[in-house]
Amino acid sequence: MPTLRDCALMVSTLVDYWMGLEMGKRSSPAERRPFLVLSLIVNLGLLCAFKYLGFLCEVMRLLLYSLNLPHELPVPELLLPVGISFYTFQTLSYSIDVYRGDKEPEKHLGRFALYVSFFPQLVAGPIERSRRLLPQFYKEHPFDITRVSNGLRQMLWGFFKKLVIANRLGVYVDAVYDNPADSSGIAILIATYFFAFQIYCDFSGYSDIAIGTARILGYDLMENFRRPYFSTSIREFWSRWHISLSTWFRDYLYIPLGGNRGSTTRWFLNIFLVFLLSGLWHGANSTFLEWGALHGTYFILFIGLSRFLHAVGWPRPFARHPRIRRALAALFTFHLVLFAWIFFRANSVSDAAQLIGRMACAEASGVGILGPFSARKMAIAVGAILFMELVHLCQGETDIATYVSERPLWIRWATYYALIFAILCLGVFDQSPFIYFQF
Amino acid sequence: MKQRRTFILSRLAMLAPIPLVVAFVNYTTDPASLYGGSYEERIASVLLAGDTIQFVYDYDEGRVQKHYVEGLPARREVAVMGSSRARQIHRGMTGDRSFVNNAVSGANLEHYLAIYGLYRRRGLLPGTLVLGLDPWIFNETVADCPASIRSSYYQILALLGPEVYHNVLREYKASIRIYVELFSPSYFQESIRARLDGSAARRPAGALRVAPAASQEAGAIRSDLSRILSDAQRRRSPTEVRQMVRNRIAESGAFMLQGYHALDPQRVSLFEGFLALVQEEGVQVVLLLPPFHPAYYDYLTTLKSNVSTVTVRDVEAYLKVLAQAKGLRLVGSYDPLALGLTASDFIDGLHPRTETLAKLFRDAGKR
Repeated sequence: MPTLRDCALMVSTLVDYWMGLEMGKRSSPAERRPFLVLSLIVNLGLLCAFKYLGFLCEVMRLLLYSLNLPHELPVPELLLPVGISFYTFQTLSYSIDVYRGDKEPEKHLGRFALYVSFFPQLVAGPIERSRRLLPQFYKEHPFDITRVSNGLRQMLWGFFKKLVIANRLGVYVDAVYDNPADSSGIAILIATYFFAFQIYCDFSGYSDIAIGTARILGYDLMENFRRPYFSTSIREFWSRWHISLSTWFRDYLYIPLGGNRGSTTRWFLNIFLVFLLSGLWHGANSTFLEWGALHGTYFILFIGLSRFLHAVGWPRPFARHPRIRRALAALFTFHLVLFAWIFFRANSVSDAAQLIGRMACAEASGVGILGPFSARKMAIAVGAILFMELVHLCQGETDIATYVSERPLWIRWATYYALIFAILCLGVFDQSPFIYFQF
Repeated sequence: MKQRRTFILSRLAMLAPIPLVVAFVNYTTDPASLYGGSYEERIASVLLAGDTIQFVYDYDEGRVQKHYVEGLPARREVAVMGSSRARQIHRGMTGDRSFVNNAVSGANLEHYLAIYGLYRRRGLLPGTLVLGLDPWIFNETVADCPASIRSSYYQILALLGPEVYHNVLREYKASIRIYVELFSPSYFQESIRARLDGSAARRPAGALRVAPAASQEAGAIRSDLSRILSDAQRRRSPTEVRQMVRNRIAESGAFMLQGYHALDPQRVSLFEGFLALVQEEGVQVVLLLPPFHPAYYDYLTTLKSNVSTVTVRDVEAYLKVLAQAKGLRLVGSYDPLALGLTASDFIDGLHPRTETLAKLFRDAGKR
């Protein structure tokens, strides 16, 4: 007997298809609004039911307990349908675009269902806009050597990042972050750096595999990561990290809330709210809320500080040395992001506090610098990260597949063989699911 | 269409060396002895010829047992099964009758069934079967049977009741898996590791080294498959052994007893069924409980409940009741103090000295 979990994708697809058609029959926003509201209720309702109901019940229980009221509430344990956070946002973007008149409603149910459940990006994005993806289902996609080759290259690079770097770093990170009381300060520091690269390689690796697969089939998915750790400001970081989600929040929440129109207070409030909800999107856990709040704070402080320094005529540091300036700015931004990752990865707020405390005090007791790694494994982990960043430096703003395709034939094939053997020899193949599958 | 075909074929041709290299390295290195067995076959044939052997490493013990039992010229009066804690038991301890030691490192219930199945196939059931029982045999989280002796395990399983079909299907899947492993990246990594750390070279293709006498220095395997400890192992002081116990506890906790929250009823039933089968076929059974080092035994009896709810005392209590119910002789105890043993009677946390085991059998013989 199929459960609601099994039907969530189907329900979301059918409801939004129907709502889109109904909105298409009506010309004024006022007439379209009830259908948009229904679409929002169903999609966000499904998302909240599966993702946040347990959390809300627990919060309610604690609240009732603190008020000395009866607090025995059933806490439902619902398994999260795979990809629900991604496809609900994808279908919502369709509904909102149709409501706004930016997109004609899709009349073909099959094509609409394909848009919602397109397998390369169903589980963990990129969150595609209907204006971009739907029209591609109407085109022919003849075999194209360049496109297929680029797709394969991108997939190979994705597998390298996931299997050689992300899975390997995950062993160290899990050992330290799951046992904060037994880890020394230096181990926690190293685990934090490792987590920054683990989550990047895991998520961008998946995106590369998804985008590469779609490319082979002839479909063009949006770029989701663009060398985010080279960002010179938090604002730039969010234009390079999980681009599909950050642009979704910008277009469907931040701008409708008013964006930067209105007072400064209102502007900052909009920014903070968007980042808070972005944290909440990742999961019903106060650590994600803290992570979102930190980024919101960074953003606001950055804007405030920039305005103040500009107002007082403060000279730009290293103005005559733009490269040094950019490098220092990137280093600083990276460390701001790194600090926030502590909350993202920690199992609880108290764990995060303990991790930060032990790092700050340079706590010597506990698992040492190598952690669960041997010296050889540590060297491989660090070497792989350095190699990846070297590639990022060389590729610049070109995408990796195009960058490799421009090299001579012998270099290309040497690279393919090197990457494949690196995956075979150094890949960690135990069952390490992609981090973003849990969202 | 032609363009697509040309592209696919050309790329496959360019990439074909990769799986071939992987398969070649996996097959020729074969760290888990999935494909060969010539090394184990040679070990078994040297031992069957009556010689003691030294400097053999990284071999599949199950496969050696298989070749040995298949090559036995005649029935043995006494056979010992168990883990490495029983591997030192030799002919002299059991009354000097014809003897074989079928103990295998980390042995579990599956190993007993599998090796007994090998004897049944040969029609050479031993007169007496000494079962060295370890407390983890009812822990379903560590259940495993090596591929090399899995088919005889399934044959006994079929006799004891579980559906044969599923066992045959599992065996089929297991045999397919062996060929899939040829291209396995994980197995490739194991093979590379074996080549880099030299363990691959420790399985020489040339002649195996036969010890002129029971050479004491390096340790050896006697022709009855029992193990001779090395000098270094025998000379360990109680202080050294105590430190080894502490290190073992710190590094790996309770060996094979993690997640042990119940004497798994299916495994209990399987064991009792196995005992009944063995007795029906006229084989006398002796249950042996090899003791633990006192400090390690103390650790095992005070494990935190999130590690294991079942303790070694629970297992021993059950086995004593079972032995009494079935009229079986029970020798030894997990508790060293119950046997009047001290720390000096052990070479590490898990393994008694050879003299300790001999004393166990001597004392049992007097009772």
